[in-house]
Amino acid sequence: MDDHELAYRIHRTSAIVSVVNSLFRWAGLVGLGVCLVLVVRSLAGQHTDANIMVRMLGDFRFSETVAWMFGAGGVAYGMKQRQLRRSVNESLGTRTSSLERLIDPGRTSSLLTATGQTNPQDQL
Amino acid sequence: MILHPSAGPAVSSLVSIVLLWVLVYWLYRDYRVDLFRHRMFMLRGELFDLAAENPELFHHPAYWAQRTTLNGFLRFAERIGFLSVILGSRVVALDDASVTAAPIARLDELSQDLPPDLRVQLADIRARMHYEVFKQVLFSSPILTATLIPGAAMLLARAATGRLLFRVAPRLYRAGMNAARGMIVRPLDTLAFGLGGGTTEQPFAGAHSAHALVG
Repeated sequence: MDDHELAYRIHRTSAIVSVVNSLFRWAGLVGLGVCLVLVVRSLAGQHTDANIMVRMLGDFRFSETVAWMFGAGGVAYGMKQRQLRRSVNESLGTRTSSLERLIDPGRTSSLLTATGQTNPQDQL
Repeated sequence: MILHPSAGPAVSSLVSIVLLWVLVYWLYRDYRVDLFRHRMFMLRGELFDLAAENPELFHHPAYWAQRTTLNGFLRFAERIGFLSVILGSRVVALDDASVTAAPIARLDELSQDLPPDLRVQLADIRARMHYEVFKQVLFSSPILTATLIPGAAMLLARAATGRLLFRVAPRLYRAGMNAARGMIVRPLDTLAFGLGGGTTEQPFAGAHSAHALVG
């Protein structure tokens, strides 16, 4: 196998992995969404979905509401922390790479974005 | 309005499962990728510092092989997982000559002309890189994490109760490491090296950074 053939196989494999991973997680989400719709429909009888949601909201207990808020707050906190970390990455990474290039002009790159995320050109 | 009594809990449970799915397959997965990239950046920084102290290393094939592979892992971090191990094994058959395209597998050979302390430090960086890759394969897959870790913990707990562990452990460890190198590390090294921009034909044709892409 020559280098071109190997490079082709590597990129094909990488693309397949990406597609299968995306399919798996989206299929799971869609499957769960379908289950949700089926459950609501089967339990609702002749009533509309909106009525069920109104009834559910009416049934919410204070402790459950606090638990949901706690979970949502945790996720929001994590997202803000991630945003902050990426911002720090951007400021420190840019500086580091420019300083490293002074020492090693042939410095190679991972081709990630300045915040350390996957290069849009590498995304499928 | 007449509503089935289990409607509330059923819908609420399903919504919780949907949110957990999002948590595991989006948020946690992104976190693992970021964590893996952070550790790879640390190793690449360490490699750079090593070369800065020994400038001849910047133009040495061993440095280039190590850096290119690290760049590849950084670049395709989000695709490292159980599936890439399986598919990677198909690309890189163990008896295939293409494994020579991953010079990191020949780091010892490439670094023969370097001082012994540099060789040791390079090998140490490579070993830690492989350890991080192994952890990424294990922890980026919720299915693997949910099945293998409790299973391994149970086996270890059982083995730890007997003296057998102390007799078998060294051999078991060596056998495990050899299997991991062949089945997990080698295919992924080749994928990373190829995606990092390395070829055997153009040994120094690594991907040079653009101004907008500084990672």
